[in-house]
Amino acid sequence: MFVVAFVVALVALGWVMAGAWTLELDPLERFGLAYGVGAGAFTLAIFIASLAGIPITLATGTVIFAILFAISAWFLRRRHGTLVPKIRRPRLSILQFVLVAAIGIVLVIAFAVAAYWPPYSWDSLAVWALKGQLIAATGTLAELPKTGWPFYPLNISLQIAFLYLIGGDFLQSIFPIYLFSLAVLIVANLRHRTGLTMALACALFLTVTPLVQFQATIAYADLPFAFYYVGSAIYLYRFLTERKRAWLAVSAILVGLAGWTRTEGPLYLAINLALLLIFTRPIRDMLKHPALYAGIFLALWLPWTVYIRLANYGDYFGFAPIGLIDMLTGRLDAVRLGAVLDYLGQRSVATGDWGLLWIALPVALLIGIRHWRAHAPLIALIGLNLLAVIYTYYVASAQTYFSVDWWLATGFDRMTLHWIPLSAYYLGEALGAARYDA
Amino acid sequence: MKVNTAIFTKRRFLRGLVRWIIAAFFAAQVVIAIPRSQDAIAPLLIAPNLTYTDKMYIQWGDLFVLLDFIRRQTPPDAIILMKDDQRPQFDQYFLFPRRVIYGDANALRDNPQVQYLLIARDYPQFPVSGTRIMLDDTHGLYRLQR
Repeated sequence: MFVVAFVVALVALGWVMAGAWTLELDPLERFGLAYGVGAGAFTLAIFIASLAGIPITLATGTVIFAILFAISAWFLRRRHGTLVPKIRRPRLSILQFVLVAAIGIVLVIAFAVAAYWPPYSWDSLAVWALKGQLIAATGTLAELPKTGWPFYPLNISLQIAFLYLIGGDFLQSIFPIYLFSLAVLIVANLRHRTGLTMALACALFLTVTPLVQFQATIAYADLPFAFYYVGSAIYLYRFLTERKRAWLAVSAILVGLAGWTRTEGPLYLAINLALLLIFTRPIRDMLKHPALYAGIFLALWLPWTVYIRLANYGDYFGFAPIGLIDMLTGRLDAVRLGAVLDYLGQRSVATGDWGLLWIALPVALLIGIRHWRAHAPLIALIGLNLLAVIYTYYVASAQTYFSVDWWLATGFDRMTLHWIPLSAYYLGEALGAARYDA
Repeated sequence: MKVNTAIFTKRRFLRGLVRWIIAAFFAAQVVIAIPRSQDAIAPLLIAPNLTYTDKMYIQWGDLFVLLDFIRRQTPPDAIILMKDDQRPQFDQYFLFPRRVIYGDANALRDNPQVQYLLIARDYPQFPVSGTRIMLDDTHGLYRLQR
């Protein structure tokens, strides 16, 4: 019961916050963003408050929540936005109803499985849940060095900490909510561009992908990261195609929250910035837009980054430039790169985990080839993200004492997880456009 | 006026083909997912009322049994000396709020506040005086007399 109240409270906070940012978001988009935004903003505020010496307890959490909600509601009222949505009953065709029911069944299974198991997988225990447990028990961040990878951001661990504070049950229940939110966000964004049926079909394609289903039932940060990053990518794509400044801000906030969820945030900011630089027109906006984008990201990312630097928790930041310098100066380890590409090739045919994504993507590229100009930013995002994963594994294995095989076996699938919803979104764009052509 | 029906037939065929390819992909994706969903949901249907201990035993086997034994046999403020097992975060999660110190005879000498010591197959390999509380033939705890 308390877990439901916790989730509803964060959804309400995110709903109000997203409305306060921009009135351009339609109710379904706001609903899709609500939990992720509410949870990300709440945990970031808790972290900043703890830096000011405020203990992390249920009481202080409630006060901080109330302050955030009141400020957001005030901004929303100033914009004449709606606090309570007007819900109209959607008129669905039989096929659309079947698709909604199928997505519903998959999500119910994910919720049931996540609620049934306590956190049990290695990283769940050694990183995310352990941090949550220690924060909840001590009310401070002082015990973080005792955990695995203390420099990992706290979005997920602070959510788990509050689940501990309200009773410690159903600690994994927040993870299927991110899958639900991702599905809603994809439907909300695709339905105006490709029609509701195709949007629902893509959401189903995403939710039934075995790897995604599994990640929705374990306490890892990769699915929440996928939600934030793919959200940022979708709104960036919409900014580049629709030229609405509001989408740029929403995208920047979401990539900032991605950086507050997993430590690789700056790499994905770099991808989005590269896309902005390549596709921004007119030329005079080429500096203005990336500067605004990076500014919003830094505002959300810097508090934690400065903290871990001052606390000397270590980080990954040094790896990326060293690896790049090595590659640019011709010290490319072809064997290591070959191992990463070989593994990628093996995983692309592992349909038991990845479903048909790797087959569907080239088919969609082929079918949607006539629209390549319109879809170019999205295709570039998919390509750059794949390169980023290859680069991450090449560099991480080159710069640490773990072997490339260890890195690949322990994390390749989940580190590539955000690539699945990104590709599902592209499937919708490409197949939807081809369907209209036909 | 003469209408070229071949063009319309060809276009209709292509339109149908594209729709079928798209539908087939989505249907195949759903079919692929079904066995995984069945596997995921099976434990809930077979054993819906398992306890936390049962679930963790299923996932971690004897390792969880040992850590659960230590947790039950020691007070929350206990300080325990264990063999360095390369999984300190894991031990910490299950044994919290107990404190775990890793090491050998030197660690025992340097940490006079240690009250318990793990007994494993090849640990400790130094003399210890205390009461043995055994889980099985090879695993247990020393309650130290200091």
